[in-house]
Amino acid sequence: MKKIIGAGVLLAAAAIFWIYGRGSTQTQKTSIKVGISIYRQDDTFISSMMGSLESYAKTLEQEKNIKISIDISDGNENQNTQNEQVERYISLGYDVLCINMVDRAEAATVIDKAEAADIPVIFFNREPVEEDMYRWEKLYYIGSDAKEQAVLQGQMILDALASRPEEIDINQDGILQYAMLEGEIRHQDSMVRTEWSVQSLKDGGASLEKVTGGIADWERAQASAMVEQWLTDYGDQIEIIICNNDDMALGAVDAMARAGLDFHNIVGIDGTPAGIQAVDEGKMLGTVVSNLDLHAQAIMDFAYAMAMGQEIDIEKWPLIDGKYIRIPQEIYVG
Amino acid sequence: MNKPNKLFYIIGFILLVLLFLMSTTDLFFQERDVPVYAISVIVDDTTDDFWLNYKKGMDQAAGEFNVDISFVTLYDNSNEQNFQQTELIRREIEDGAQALVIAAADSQKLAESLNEMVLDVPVIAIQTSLPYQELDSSVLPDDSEMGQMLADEISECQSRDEHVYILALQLTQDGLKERCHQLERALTEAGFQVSLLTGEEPGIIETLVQQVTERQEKCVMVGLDAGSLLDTASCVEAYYGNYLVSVYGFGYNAQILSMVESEKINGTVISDDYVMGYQSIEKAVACLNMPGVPASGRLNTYLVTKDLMYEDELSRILFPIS
Repeated sequence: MKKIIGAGVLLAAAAIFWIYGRGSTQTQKTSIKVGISIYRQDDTFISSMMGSLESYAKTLEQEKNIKISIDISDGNENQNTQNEQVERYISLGYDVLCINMVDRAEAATVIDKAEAADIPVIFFNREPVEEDMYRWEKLYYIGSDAKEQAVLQGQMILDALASRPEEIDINQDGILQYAMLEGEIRHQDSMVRTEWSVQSLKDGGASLEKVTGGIADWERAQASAMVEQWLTDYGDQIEIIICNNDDMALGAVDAMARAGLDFHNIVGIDGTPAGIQAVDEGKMLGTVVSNLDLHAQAIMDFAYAMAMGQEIDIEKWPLIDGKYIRIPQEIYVG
Repeated sequence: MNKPNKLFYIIGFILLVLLFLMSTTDLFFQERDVPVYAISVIVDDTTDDFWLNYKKGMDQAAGEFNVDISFVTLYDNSNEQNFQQTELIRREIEDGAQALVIAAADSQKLAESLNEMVLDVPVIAIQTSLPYQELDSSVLPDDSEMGQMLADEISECQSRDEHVYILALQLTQDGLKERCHQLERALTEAGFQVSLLTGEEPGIIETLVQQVTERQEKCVMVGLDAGSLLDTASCVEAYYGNYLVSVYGFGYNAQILSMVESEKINGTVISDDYVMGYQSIEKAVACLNMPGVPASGRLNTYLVTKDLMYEDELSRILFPIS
């Protein structure tokens, strides 16, 4: 009996030392590793956000005197590639994962792997389905509200229509003939932006007629080729081109420039540096700015807090439903 | 159940238990621990804008050789770049880096700093040579060949009465000096008048481009590195148009390639960044694994123009897929 009690005491002592040891190594953390996987590197909005994030991480690093190691991987629009990147980050002992999902419906795979390794996950820009977000407590989403973006885009067009009707309703028939450039086919933001930009125009009392539309996968080159074809097919029937993002709006601008047309009734969403520049130069009517720097700061602040085992500053970043951060946005018309 | 049957079931059960234990535990076969190498890559830029293809090669090698890479950029573009790099090297070693891959911002100064430090980890130089006494290996562009190749292209496409202005932020890298020297020499021999314009203050490229274009003469401008090339091309495009100025240079990123495609940049000479990324990590791992120093390598040189950029070999280099 004495032997059993002795062994029990030894085991308990070992457990206490182990727990203490773990605790003390956590308090001595001098560096953190953040693994970021993005869906596609050549998406201007995402790559600009990553630039801002790296810059903010350096500021934070100097401020907190903690080494912040960031690794950004390109998912190349392939969910399997992204899953491998997540596995690699986990195997290398990264402290936190920031994931811009290739396929938002596949978040459960990432979540399960991360949960098994007890590594928190911050999703951004491409929102997982709500059900997945509640699979584990260490999951957050940072992004803009797609519906709000679309409503603001519609409002921007309504404002222009009210103040300069002759420039927007070019043929003065009281009906706005529009073309729609959409992002990815199954992307939630793409569907919401398309639906609500049109709905908000209708709600605002505009009479609409869709001339044409197409899916350009958020890409400038695809959008440019598509608009070039529309110019051949529909000529001057199109009065405004509504785009799900700035890259596609810039593609439309490129097509207009190639055709030698003085047409700038083109609206985008995102407020990328190139998009804002095009608005300033009068090549686009406007865009909806979703503050890139705020996105980056929110992601990094969350990553830092979770990696260091600290509480999230909810005064600075008020959480919606304990999971979501919505970055504010505004209309930009130069 | 008779005795042999019982025995059969017992042995079968024991075998099953053994197989289960063998496949799920380390009791019988110890799984080999795969070593993870911690390698830090310290570059001379504040962002990775011009390092994306390098990183693709680096990541490919990291996956193959089981490397945990810390890719480190500078805090700012101040004159203290050498100090920043020295401090970052110190920090990375304290943080457990087993090997360093370095693109020196200032070849001579960094070599001096490294010679004073006692480093017990392998050091691989990339992008520019590093006269550090204990340097283990390097993967470098052939700067002399790059200068010559661009001089040949300018000689072929431009008129001898067009003045050639070479623009650079600073010439603190040995590689850039070599490239510049060869370019100047070859262009002068070809009959061009050549001027080198440099400066370190912010916005200097814009000022230099402004000074040159005020003369309203046809000329050629050469950005000596990717940053200078992008700044030069952007200034020429934004303020002066390309009708008077032909723009050439060295290096690339997505923006530069887009400008080559739209002929805002007439041509750029490059080396294979993806290979540089892959080989630098491969050599660092080799240094950690094997005695002896892996051979230093020079990268191949390529000319990129609108007509050439989508040819098979160049496409693979400019738009690599891991």
